[in-house]
Amino acid sequence: MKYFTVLAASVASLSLATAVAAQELKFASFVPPFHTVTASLIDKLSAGVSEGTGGDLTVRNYPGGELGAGPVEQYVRVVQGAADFAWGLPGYTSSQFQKTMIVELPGAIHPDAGGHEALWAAYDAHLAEEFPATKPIALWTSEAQVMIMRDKVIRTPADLKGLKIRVAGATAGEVASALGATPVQMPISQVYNSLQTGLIDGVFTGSSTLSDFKLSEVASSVTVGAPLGRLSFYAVMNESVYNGLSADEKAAIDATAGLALSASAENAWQATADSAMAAYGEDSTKTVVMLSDAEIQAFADAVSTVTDAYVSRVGGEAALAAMRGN
Amino acid sequence: MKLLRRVIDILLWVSAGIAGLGLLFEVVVILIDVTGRAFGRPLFGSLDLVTMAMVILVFGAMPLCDRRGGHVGVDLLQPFFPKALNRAIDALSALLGALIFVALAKAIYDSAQISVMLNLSTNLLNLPKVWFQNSIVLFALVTALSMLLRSVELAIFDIDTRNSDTGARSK
Repeated sequence: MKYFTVLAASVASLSLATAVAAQELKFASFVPPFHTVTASLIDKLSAGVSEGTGGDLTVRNYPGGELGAGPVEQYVRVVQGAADFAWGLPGYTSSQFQKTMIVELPGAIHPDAGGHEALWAAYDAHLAEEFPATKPIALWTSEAQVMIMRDKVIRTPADLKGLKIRVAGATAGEVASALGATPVQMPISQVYNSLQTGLIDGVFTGSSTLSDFKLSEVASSVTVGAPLGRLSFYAVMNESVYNGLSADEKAAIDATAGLALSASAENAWQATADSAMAAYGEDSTKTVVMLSDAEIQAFADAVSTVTDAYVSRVGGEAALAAMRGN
Repeated sequence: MKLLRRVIDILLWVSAGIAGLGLLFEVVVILIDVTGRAFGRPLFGSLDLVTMAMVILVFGAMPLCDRRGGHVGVDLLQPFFPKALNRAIDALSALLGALIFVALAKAIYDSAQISVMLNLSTNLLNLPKVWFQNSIVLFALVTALSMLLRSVELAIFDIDTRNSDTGARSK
């Protein structure tokens, strides 16, 4: 009888513990844990949600592609329910995010303007249709893109002619084409090997990748100042999962997600970029080219028609106006 | 049954022919791309073409691969089993293979619906992904049909089509 009582009490305790156990949501990240996104976005989201729900709802990071290795499939991963949250680049699936990617184009928004503010300003009226079955929790942009080269030094558009340049998406591809290069699209996680083996000659991307993806180890020169635009990013949550949460849990997510979380990520990207460039510049074996105004103008002339042509082709005039605050 | 085998054989040879064309296309694209790179003119969108051709190549060749016994099989214990048991295992394996390929076709079909919803295409050439996902569905179903028929042939007629093109008694 005594054993039976103990057993019954144990079973009851276990049941109760299970019933009140915190619900854990999965955040899929395709980058290593030391990447900028972890501290600036995922950890902040996790802390905000835990605090807002008294620990009843938590968010756990699965870095390094634990929930699926392909960066290109991040959005689909959330739609299919393999992950509750994920972050990714619209450029990897450019055909889905035609209007969102306007923010990436050279001159689309002022270089000093916040990309996250531009994206959220246009979101409700113009971009929401590009995010079916999910709830965006952060939209942000990178620092200005630079040219990270394997063994060439770029000073003029002519230097790029015939080179195979990795770009993140279709808009950057059009910029590369306008400059005479041949764009190659691949996820950033494949760039290190491609640069090292000579599969590509260089990459247009933010300088934060010099440290986040160790590209400084395989790049001999970086050219700064050309108007190449910037990259955009999203972090989304499965809409069904969000709808299934209690009112308090939804409120905790809403209070954490949005403009502030996006600003945190964007500022962190910029800070990483600044420190990565500083460290790269200190290496005497590397070349950093800071373009002069005249040299910048040559690049600007070459890409001058790209933004207008793209916006017109995707019918994004209103979205662009909203991003510019008009 | 012979007519059914003939129809499925035609299907799998058509499928393999398409895969062969995919392989040829892949080789030509890579040749042009690599040669062009040497002259400073690499092929635009070559990665899109190579990736999507690979889908056709791999899944198009799958039915013929099974028909000719190209899949890896573990036969360590086969010499110790009676002939009837080996035959039953082969028939069940083929049936299981058919079920797996049907499941694969279903999963890819669902994925294709998501691709349509998200308007997904390759990044540089804008080739709709749904085209290639639907082709995988078709190739997987042909493979499943071929495996199912092989299972029936083994179980009822004691014929293992992997032994020859015309079919022969199972070992």
